[in-house]
Amino acid sequence: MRAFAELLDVLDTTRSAAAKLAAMARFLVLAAPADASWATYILCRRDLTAFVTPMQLRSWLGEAAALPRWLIDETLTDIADLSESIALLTASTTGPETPGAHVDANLSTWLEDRLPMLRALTESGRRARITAWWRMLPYRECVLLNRLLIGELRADVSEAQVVRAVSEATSRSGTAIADLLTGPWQPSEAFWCRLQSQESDRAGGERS
Amino acid sequence: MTGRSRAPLLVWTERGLYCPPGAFHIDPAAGVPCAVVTHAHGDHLRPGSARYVLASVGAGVARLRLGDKAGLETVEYGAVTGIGDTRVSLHPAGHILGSAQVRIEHAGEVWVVSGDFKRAADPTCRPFEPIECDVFVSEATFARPVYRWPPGVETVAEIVRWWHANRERGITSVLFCYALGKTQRVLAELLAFTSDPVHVHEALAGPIRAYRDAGVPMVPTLPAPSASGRQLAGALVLAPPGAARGRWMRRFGEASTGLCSGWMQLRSNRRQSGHDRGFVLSDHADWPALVDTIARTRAPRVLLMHGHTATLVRFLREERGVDAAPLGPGSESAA
Repeated sequence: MRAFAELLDVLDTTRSAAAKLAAMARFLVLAAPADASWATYILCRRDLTAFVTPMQLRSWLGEAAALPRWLIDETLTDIADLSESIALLTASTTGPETPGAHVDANLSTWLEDRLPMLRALTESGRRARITAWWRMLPYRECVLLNRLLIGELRADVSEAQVVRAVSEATSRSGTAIADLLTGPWQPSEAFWCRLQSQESDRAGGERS
Repeated sequence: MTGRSRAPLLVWTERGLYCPPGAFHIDPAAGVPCAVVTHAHGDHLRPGSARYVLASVGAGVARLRLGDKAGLETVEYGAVTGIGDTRVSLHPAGHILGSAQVRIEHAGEVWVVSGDFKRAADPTCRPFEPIECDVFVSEATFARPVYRWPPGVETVAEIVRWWHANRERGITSVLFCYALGKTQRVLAELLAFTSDPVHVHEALAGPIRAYRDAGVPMVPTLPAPSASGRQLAGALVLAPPGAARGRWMRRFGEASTGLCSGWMQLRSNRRQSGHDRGFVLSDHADWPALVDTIARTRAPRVLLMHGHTATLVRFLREERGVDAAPLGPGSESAA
């Protein structure tokens, strides 16, 4: 998740289309297939499942940040972004290289295992699990986690830019990628392998 | 140490902090007879004073701003000097090379002025030393709880990843950092990752030389080219923030730009910076460091200068029971 969090920060900061494209393509080439698939899904702004509500996160923040309510409220007003405010106030600052200070895992592990497993917990169990993650994850991963928890993540790229990046990462034509990304699909290792496979290019060529 | 029934040791004047029994100013805004200087940044060290008292290790960087003729009186950290009716000593502040806290003792009372300071590790300067006192005058530049710094080495690792990714794309990485302090800290932290040379804007050459003269180890540096920099594809170039929007940038072919600053902690600042990347690296104390440092001074009274003083004043008064107040333009005195 660390690499994807860094990618989102790059997409958020730079205004250069070339830099956005290069960063996405680089991430997709280096990522595990399931992660590349989930990243593409998120970057295309497909619907995400919400696991908790923003109100729940907000209500857990006071205790987790160990700050008085007026200071939490002042911060939320100033920052105007709940996911970022939580990360600024609670995320680990010991650095990801510190042993034991980090619970990083693949993006797909978070989305397929860790977050769905929250549903099996009671409210207090969810709270304990999530606030523990807040303390262990560094800032960028913490921001990303919060956005995934409430199912609200809008990366600052267009779908056309994502198609170009996937095309570059898979060495396939933009048209073929755009076709495959149209309509309903679920992220998975198998889906990314389909994107990479030249079979559908040839099939498409025969059809046309 | 005593209470606060007596006249204050420091008062705020239009020329900055003034110590009546010592007849000296600290970091005065204009020329004065005697200036005690916390460090050599332009908003703390200004020309025109008759006498400057500063930490000896900072003399080289101070000369960059004052020239060779200014009357510098350098003192070792911890050495006590009599100024007027006061006993004054300078202590490491961990901000930049030669930065100092000012400890003032008069009639059994001790005041400490932090100057700009940080608690994070920095290979270019002596670490901050907390000093117990009756009144602690602290900077408050980043006095909001959202400012919590990651370790500097983590940020520099991220800078190296950005540089190397740009090198793979065959483009130049231009990193903007303050000329004095931040630049040298980056060059020193880079030693943990590389011995490759880094190119530097001409405005950085003097401060880098002063740090090398003071014995601070840094990666090798080369001047950035004067005209066409296309041969710098793949290189890392350091420049002061002012060069970002001038003609200077035109010499590079395709380049990725980054800015190194504590303000880059906030997403809104990164987005508004106009750079491709924002790297969080500050030479000031973050919120946890401010709160911890104030506790370590055991000062019953704390005066806050620069930045978000209101938030920290309220926090100290309500949550820590400290007699805290803002100090600066608008406050009549330090009392």
